Amino acid sequence: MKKQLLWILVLVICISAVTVFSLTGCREPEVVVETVTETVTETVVETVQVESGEKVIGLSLAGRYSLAFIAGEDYIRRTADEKGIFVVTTVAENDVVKQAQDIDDLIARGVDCVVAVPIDSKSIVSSIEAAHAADLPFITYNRMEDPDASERSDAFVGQDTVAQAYDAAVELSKILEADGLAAEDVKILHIQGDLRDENAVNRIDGFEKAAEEFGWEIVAEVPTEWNPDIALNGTTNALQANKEINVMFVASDFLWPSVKTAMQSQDVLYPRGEDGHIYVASQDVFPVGYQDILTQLIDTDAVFDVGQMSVRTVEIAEQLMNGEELSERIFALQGRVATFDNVADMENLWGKEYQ
Amino acid sequence: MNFKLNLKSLKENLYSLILVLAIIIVLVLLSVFAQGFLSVNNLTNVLRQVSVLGLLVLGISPIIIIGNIDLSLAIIMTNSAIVGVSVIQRTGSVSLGILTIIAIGVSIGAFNGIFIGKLKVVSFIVTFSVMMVGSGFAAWYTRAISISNLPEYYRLIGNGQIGFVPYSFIIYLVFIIITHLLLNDHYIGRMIYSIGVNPKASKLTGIPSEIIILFIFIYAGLLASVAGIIQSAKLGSASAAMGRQGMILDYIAAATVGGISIKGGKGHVYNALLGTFLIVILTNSMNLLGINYYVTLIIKGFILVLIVGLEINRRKVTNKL
Repeated sequence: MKKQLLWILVLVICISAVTVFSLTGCREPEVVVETVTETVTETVVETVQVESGEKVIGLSLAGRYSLAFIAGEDYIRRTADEKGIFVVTTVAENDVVKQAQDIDDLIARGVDCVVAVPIDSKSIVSSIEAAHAADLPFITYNRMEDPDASERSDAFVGQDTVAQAYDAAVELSKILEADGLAAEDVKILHIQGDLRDENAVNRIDGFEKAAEEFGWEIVAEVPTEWNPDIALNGTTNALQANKEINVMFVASDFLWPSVKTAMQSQDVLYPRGEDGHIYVASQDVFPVGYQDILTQLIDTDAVFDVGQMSVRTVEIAEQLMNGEELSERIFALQGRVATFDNVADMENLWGKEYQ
Repeated sequence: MNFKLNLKSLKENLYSLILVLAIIIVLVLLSVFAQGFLSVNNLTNVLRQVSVLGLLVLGISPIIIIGNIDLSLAIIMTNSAIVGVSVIQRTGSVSLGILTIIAIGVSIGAFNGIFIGKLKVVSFIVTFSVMMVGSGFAAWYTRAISISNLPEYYRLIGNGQIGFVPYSFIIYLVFIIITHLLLNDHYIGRMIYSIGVNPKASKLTGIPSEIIILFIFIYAGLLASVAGIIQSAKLGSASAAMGRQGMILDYIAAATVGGISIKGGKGHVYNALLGTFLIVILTNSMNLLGINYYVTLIIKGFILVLIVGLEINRRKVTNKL
């Protein structure tokens, strides 16, 4: 009995300690404790608030499994910090149910603006409705809500992900032409993202549109669920089974380390200009992708301008929180494609700057 | 609830009372430190979140009591919602859609029950396989496109409320009553507990364990499909991205933390209710406090290990009486 009580006491103390610890150890910035004394018949309540007057952005991330998302969050925090804006972050782990609950929690917490990376363009609409019902502005970042939705966000900041993939393929076509590879000889391995992810599906559509236009043949597809292990095994198997593959579409540099390893294991990893080179069109320009553009293992890479998107998002959030009207609603950043010829001179490239 | 006046029962109920006390202490701390925790808006949020998770926890509870597991409840919720919502979208008939959702949930539950009860396949294997198949089906059927454009009156199921009490929580309360009556006041409940305590002895005494197992998996499938109705109504859509791995951990953790014994044979509806509130309040409070999501997972895991250790230790002590 004593042992049990001891266990229970430990449990209670641990839960309490964790709660208190998280307040002092995990919250930023330093909090100001205000004591509000009500009338004699009411309770004395102590509330912990952010420094008075400080605005709060509630940031709902789809996930933190990609360096691009982590970098985006970092840029948002840095920019917000410079402006004296506090950011509270939730992570939905690619679960629309959790994202809806997270945003409800942020609204209940009393944030001044909600910024969300929607997992799903339709499911996010209910959260936009909830935010607007609470008189809060809502910004969609990276993915827009359904264009036919009855309730629209106050602003969208992002890129056209179909165009992103398409543009990478178009730049690749110029390289293939320069190297004398005829369209009918192009045999493509298409390494895809998660088929449940709208942006991944958009990139598939972009690549396939280009392939159809140029008359290229896709001989193998590897859906990876954004899982590096699946990407490694799938690419290895596809390269073993299809020796004629001479071009790859890669859904994101996030998968590139696995793809590169697979190519190495099959002895098909050669830079452009050497015999056996497989032409690679990729997306996002991660730090690892940037390096391999310079070594000419990757031929074209569409930039995912996460730095600019993040800065713009905070600027727009600030405007909305101050009650200002925006000149437009959609802020779609101009797509850029990095190649060996231009990447070293490209400015504001997060893959080059972010470590 | 029947509180038998003996020492063993008192000790078992003491566990639940202490858990309630722990929750109360945490609630008091959160009301002080977590901005917005005590607001009406947040209370409604919590009740809404409890209703969806709670239905899954009610579903898994009898399954754990008989000594089995079900990893497929989240995917039953997702797939039944996807197909049912697409029926609503195509036919315009909400009642047909709801019937479809329930039919799919019950069918998958029956599939699980037949394989586990009749064919004696290990429940982990069957439900894990169903989870894999279901995930693939959801991705294939929707191709990452959500199914939406639902009638406003369907959405009321997930978004409507009376005062601060959501309709979904009222639906959950109804199923709590049904489940309580089933487990405590019906002979099926007594059979469930008997199978959980000693499956071989139960069989020898003539308890139709195959039928009971089939029944509880069907019931779990039904509850998961109702969760699918509520969730799709709340979101205004259904997609393959509903209810992923995190939800499996949440509903199993909620049942276990609430006091449903992982060894089988013990547990009550109020354990399920308690565990659900604890998990939801934990997640809600971490969001309000702005605590890193991964720290939340660590805390949840830590509490789960501690509670399970406590439970195992408690059973050793009570079994000595």
